[in-house]
Amino acid sequence: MSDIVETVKQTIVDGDDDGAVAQIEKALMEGIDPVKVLKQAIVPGIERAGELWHDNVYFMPDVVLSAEAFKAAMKAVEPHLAGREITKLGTVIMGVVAGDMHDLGKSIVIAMLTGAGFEVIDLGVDVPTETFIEKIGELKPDIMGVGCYMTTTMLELKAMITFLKDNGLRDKVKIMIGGVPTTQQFADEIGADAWGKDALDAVDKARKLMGA
Amino acid sequence: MGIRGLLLRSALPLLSRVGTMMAKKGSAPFTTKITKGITLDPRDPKTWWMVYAAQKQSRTPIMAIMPDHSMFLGGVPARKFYSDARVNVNTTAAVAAYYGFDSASGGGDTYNYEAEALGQKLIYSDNAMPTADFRDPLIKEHKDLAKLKAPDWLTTGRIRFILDVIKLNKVLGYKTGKFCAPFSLAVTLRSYPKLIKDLKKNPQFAHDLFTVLSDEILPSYLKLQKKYCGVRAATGADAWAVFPNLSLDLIEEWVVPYSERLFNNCLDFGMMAMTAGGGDYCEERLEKFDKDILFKCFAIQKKLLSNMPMFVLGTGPWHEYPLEPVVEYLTPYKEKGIRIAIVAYMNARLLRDGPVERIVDNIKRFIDVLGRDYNLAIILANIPADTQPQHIHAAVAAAHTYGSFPLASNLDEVALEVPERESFQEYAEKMSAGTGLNI
Repeated sequence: MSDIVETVKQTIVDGDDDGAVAQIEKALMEGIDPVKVLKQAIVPGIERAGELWHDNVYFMPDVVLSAEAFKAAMKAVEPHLAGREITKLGTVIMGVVAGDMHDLGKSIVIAMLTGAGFEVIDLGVDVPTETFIEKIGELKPDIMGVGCYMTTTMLELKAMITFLKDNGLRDKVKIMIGGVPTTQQFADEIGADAWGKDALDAVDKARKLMGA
Repeated sequence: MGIRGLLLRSALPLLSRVGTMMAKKGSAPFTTKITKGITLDPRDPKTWWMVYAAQKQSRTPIMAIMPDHSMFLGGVPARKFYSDARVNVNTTAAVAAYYGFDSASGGGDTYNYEAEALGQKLIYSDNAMPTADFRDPLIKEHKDLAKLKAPDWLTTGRIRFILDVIKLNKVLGYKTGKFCAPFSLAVTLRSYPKLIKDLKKNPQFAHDLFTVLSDEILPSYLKLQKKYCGVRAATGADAWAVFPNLSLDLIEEWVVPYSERLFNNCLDFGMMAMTAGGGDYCEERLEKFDKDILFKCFAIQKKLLSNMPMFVLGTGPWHEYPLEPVVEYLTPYKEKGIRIAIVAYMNARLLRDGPVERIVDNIKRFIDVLGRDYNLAIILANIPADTQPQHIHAAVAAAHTYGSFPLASNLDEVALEVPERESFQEYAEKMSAGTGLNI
């Protein structure tokens, strides 16, 4: 691996968003293939951050900074990937339920899923059920990821899945839920297909949902 | 520094010793005192709980943090529950009486009041607790720090609501104020990712932010709280400062110094303002449970609580963690004859999911392991809105049965009967003589 590619990777691991963008621009100026930058630097960078978190070396602040650096790096490299064939594991739409503004967990999950090879469309926070429904029809995602972070807003998930069932849409998409108050039992109760305990678990579950 | 501040400051070592002496005598934290002779007023749910509490017996106390659950059980719209002090406290007291908790206090979205009064945008909805709009933080850029000025607190946002809640809580015997600790307030005003980036890349800005919160904003608010509510102590919620939301190094560097700074600033006008929650051990993955980190968290708690003989087993999954390391940590205190106060939280997800047997087993385990040599209080942690009441009745029955003093030498031989109870609505109808919650 070239030094600059290794440096880009390290900026992601270190959570240095400005550094990541600067190094990516430098790499691209030097003529390094943007796909190589993506596959050998950006993705391994966020994967390494996940490993360090798993091993109790990284904690939430480190992971958040790595996720922010990953986001900045993707923004820098994406325009250069247009027209290039990148293999995707699947498409995920992801948002936080209506009435809930917490997006920290969602941001980390999006970074980890993207790093794992999923195309993730971020619907944001405080997302009404109607928007999720609209995006299922428009984008035909494989997975709909929904986060909730309060014990009152988690009840919106139940209503959302009931609405999908009632309107014949439930079988159009796999549903994965997550967030602090949720559990596997709650996911089973409301008829979700998977529950992500945390970002790494969400990646494992998404892979399983895709049969990968 | 005023005379009162000097006196309070010089009394701190004594307070710590008094705490230790109280601990030796066997009182648990957060125990409330309700005078006997309270008359039940069907139209005032506060009296439902007060009449119950005046009769309480000697046992391990159990209480709850439960704004969402109280709102849900009471059928109160969120906008009303989180803005009307009388409704908030009456509903909470009615629910506390229904379950038989040993302490009751209204409250709500603890992290929002000061931030909202400072200008942070909140989102209100019909069914959920108000929440800060993290897409639109008040301190977007460093120059926005200049926006932080102590407002005319009483006329801004929902400050009067929470101050009235604190006043009404005093009727229930709960005489402690509430505030949002400096670190968590900074997160609400700046957003977590941006604040973390500040800590790492622009520490001077972060110091400036924490300084203005600890030296100006929060002291001015707490000064008003003391005057308006007549409280001399307040606890500051600090959920963003738990491990692993922050690493231990960051807690030591950013949470402890500014909590101590705020504490000292408030002593000047006779208010004990302690932050609570910082240093709580909340690792979610059981396989990552680390005794050394837990011990370091306890050491941080000790600093945050001004060396008071008290430790908190907080909102982490303590129903899954081993308790032996806790006992190991506390043994030196026990050998010195100090009965440490332990506040043990029962996990919110366990309370919602159950089953009853697992809830009961965990209450019993807390009491068996920690209730004999330490002054244990059990708190049901933020009971989820739609939790089955039977789960909570079981937890209370377990605490009151297994935790009855003197504790039985073998709790397995103690018979437990979980009562079959009427619904909350039926209870409220009965207690109010058919007039309902009167909210």
